[in-house]
Amino acid sequence: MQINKGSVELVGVVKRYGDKLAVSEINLAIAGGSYCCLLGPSGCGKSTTLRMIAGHEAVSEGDILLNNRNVTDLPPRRRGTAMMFQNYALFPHLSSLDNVAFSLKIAGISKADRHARALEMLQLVNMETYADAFPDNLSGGQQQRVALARALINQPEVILLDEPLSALDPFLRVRMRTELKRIQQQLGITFIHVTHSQEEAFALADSVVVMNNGCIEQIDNPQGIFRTPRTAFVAGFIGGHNIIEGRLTGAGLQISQARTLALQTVPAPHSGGDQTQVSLRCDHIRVSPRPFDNAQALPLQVESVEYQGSYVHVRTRSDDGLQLSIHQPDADYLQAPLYPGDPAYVGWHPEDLNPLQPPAAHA
Amino acid sequence: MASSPRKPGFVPLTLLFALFLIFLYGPTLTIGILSFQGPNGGLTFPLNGVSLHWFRQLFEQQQVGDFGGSLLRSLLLGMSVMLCTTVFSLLAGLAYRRNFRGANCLFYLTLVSLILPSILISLGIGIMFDRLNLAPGWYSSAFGAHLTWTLPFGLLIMFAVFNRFNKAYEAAAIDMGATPWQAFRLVVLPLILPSLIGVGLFGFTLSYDEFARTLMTAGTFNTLPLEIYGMTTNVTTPVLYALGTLTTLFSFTLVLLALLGMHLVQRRRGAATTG
Repeated sequence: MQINKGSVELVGVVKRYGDKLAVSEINLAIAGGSYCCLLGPSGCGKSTTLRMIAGHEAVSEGDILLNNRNVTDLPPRRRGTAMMFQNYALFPHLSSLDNVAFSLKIAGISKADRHARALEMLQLVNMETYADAFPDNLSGGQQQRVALARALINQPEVILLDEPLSALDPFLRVRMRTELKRIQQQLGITFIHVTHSQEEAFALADSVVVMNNGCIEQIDNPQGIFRTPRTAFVAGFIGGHNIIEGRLTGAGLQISQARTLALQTVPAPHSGGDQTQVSLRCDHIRVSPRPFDNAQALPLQVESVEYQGSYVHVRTRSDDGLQLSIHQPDADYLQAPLYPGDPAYVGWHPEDLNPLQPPAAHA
Repeated sequence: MASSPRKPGFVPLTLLFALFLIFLYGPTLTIGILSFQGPNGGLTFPLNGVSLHWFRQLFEQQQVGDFGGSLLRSLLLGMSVMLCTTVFSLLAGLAYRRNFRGANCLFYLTLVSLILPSILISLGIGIMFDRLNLAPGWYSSAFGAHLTWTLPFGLLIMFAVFNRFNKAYEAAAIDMGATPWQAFRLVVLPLILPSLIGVGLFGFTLSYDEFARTLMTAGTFNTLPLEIYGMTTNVTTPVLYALGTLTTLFSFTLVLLALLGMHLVQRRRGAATTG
């Protein structure tokens, strides 16, 4: 077992377009054979980062290492990576088989040989019956499988996927992501997958890299990202979290004169002052129309109630500015339903208040 | 079955469209019919019998006018213009995909020759050849004059083609180890080939029926449009119409062949898919 096979490392990588900073000095180490998701909103630099790893985008500063080998200035074909493009970029004038065999043709392998190997790859993605079909006649999911086979045929150590599931309908998206994970585990190679869907990232990734504004906000496994988001951006982007702002005092986090929340971990004050932020998971808040043990003394007011199946989404606010979104288990809701305008008594464990770091400094 | 009521504009607009069609195809049809005029018929209706007389006449030596020669010259000129237009439009289109210095300037300079009146360009080239003490000819000065017309068109078409061209195709080819040349030859070229054929056909047609730009540049020997124009003043027989019908048929054949070619390519793909 080679530990390093397919490992990718970015050291102080910067990308500028003219004066515009697209990626600002990111450092990232991706273990060989792991599934890594670059997650962030559009324009956050995740696709640029992926293209720099692939060699389709020049690096302004910094180094990219593959298997501890500096590939910063190598062309794509000499890196040992393969890219799967957004919308797949299958060549419309070639059949599935010839699309998959394209790189072998470039390598000068005879037609019989390359077709035999391409067919094997199509079998891996269950597309061998469509070998002679042209891309225009394939569904989105089928195109994706062919594109994957085409990326895999050269036995790359790293596969780079640019929003591979965004062109598919929601049902197919879920099926294809299972497939991606199966193939990644079967082959044991590194997958780096760019997405803006936290659901996709959570389902697939061994490590999630959350990016914003050209910076990395957090690198962790999905559980780590969801349980302890590092910044307000991460908590907001992955959803399911309340971000509570307040003043840091000896007693805890002061929201208003009358309301101070007890803290177990004291967060660092943001930007010099004593203002700070914590996050609180929507599903870690207990809510009831009546006071209960360890509930906040001051109730909030129910603004809206939305039934969502396994939980009920209750939005509450109070006059002192505290707003909380709550995911209440449907059983609790059925026992004591809340209606807009009702007082909402809320409570949580102090350790559920997760301190947030100030936003990453941008150059 | 109740049909939805027609909107008030339907009748006048249909009439207008019918008028347009008559205007568009009427002259061609008229000439087509008149070219089958009997041996004793004249340039106008009524038909005095029906015959192929004037088509036969067409291939005999005329007193005035030289169809065979001018047709051959126009074809050769059209082919050369087609070839040059295709090659240079493709190369220019490729160049414009990356920004080079003076790209805008060059683009406007190219457009100017579309805006300038053809006859002025023709005159200018004629005078230039005269000043340089060169004899104008259909293969030299007229060839150049035609290119001032076809190249800008070709370039504009290539712009449209490359605007729609998904760069990911090339990136994918490069990613799979292709050199830029291989990416061009194996991916870009096959994908833009239909448009390229279009550019070629367009260049040919523009050159084949170009009149104004040839007028002052053709030199001693006429191209077909010049010959026909000359004949309208001299020849007073339906042989002119026979010529018109033949050249129209020729153009139609070319278009049909092109369409057939495209259809065959499509069918080959379709067959490969279902087979």
